Amino acid sequence: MLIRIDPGDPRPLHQQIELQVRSAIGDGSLAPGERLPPARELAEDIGVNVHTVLHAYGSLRDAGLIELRPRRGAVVSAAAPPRQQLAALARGFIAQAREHGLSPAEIVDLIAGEL
Amino acid sequence: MSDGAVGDGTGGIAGSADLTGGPGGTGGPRRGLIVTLVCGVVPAALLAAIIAVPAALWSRLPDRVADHWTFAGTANGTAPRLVSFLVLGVLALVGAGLVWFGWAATRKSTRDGTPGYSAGAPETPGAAAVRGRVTAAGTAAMVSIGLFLMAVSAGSVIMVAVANVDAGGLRAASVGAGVLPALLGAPLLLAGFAGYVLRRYGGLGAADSETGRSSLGLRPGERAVWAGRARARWAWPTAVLLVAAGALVGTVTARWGPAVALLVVGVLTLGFTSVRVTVAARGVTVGYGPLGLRLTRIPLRRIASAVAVERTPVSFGYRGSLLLFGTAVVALRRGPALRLSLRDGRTFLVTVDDAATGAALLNDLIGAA
Repeated sequence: MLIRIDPGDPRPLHQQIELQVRSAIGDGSLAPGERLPPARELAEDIGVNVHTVLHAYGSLRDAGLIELRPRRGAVVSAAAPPRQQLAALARGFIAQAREHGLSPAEIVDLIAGEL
Repeated sequence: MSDGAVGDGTGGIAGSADLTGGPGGTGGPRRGLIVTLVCGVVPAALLAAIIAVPAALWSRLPDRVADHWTFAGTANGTAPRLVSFLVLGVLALVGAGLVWFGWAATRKSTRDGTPGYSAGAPETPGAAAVRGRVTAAGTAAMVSIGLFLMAVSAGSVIMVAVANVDAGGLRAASVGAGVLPALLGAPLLLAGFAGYVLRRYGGLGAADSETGRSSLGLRPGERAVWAGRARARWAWPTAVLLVAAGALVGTVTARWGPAVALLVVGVLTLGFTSVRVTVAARGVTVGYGPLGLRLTRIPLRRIASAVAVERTPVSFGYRGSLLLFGTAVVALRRGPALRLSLRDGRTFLVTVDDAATGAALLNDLIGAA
């Protein structure tokens, strides 16, 4: 799992952390049950305030991706969906959209509108 | 890698793929000497002991010698003097044969220039390199097993001769309780040490091929941390078996010495169920086992460079010592590993998934520091 923090990036620091942990869970480099670095240590390593890391961990917990346990710290939850599930969801969505008679261009427009 | 001693350190333990001519050029004569010592002088000394000790004591030995003992050291079997020593002699000859085949293989591979002698031969990609690694590991193993058999034979011959000399009967031929474990333990140590020396200094190293020395392209001001892990399938069952065996020995036989030893080794084995490697601006940290005990910390300023290698290990576990021998290997499995070259010439290798990313980040951090 690689976490890079770029001060030049317009996105807030906590969001950069959150996105990279999400991506690591998605591609399987952080498996369910695996521990994330302790917030204080991660904060020190990437030179941010510990509250910034806790903010990111909090968002990840609210999304159901990690569990924050009193003594074990942040652990990837068993229910965290790997990225392959996303592809399955996309296939299901596309199949439904076709049933509604949407053309490929219209489906892409629909997704772009939501982004 | 211009320093010969540094090159040897890297080549022996962790591999030799990056040693472009290092020990091959400078370490040649020394390497030949080591191989001769391990494959020639040591076996010859063992054979000499096997013949000389009974020969010297022959007239003082009874016609039937005690040649079988209980684990506690009480003699409980006899055989005719000549038969007893001949059987042990045959065992030594089998061992000598294995050492000889191993030695012949190292000499053949040196002459042909095939990568069996991996540190000396240029690293060739693909099948030849794989064949070379297999040959090197197999050769070292053959010599080790041969030496083990010879040492067991020599130890047994000396024990039979010494225990029976001037002894009137079975009871008088009893030996101390520690002798029989030592009879297996000492040859095991010798065989392990010989294998280690052959791989480390004899050029019979299992070469690990480098898989990446790239950069992440870390921009100035950018901060990054990488964490990876490696898991060993063998460690959990091994640890559980050892702990269970310790508990069983303790409760059933009430021999607490061996029981505690088994329990301690079992608990230590838990440290190898997994490792977690962290690369950050402060350096490299390795956490061991389910608790993630951080026993290895290497500050960034001590690290000269990092490289990811594909490890094909001969053995698993923790070998070496950074402090004592200048090299340490934490091998939980085969596959990707992170190899660090320290500024003082020491080498540290730890198996870890996605080692290429860790090595790339580490090199960026070193460059930025």
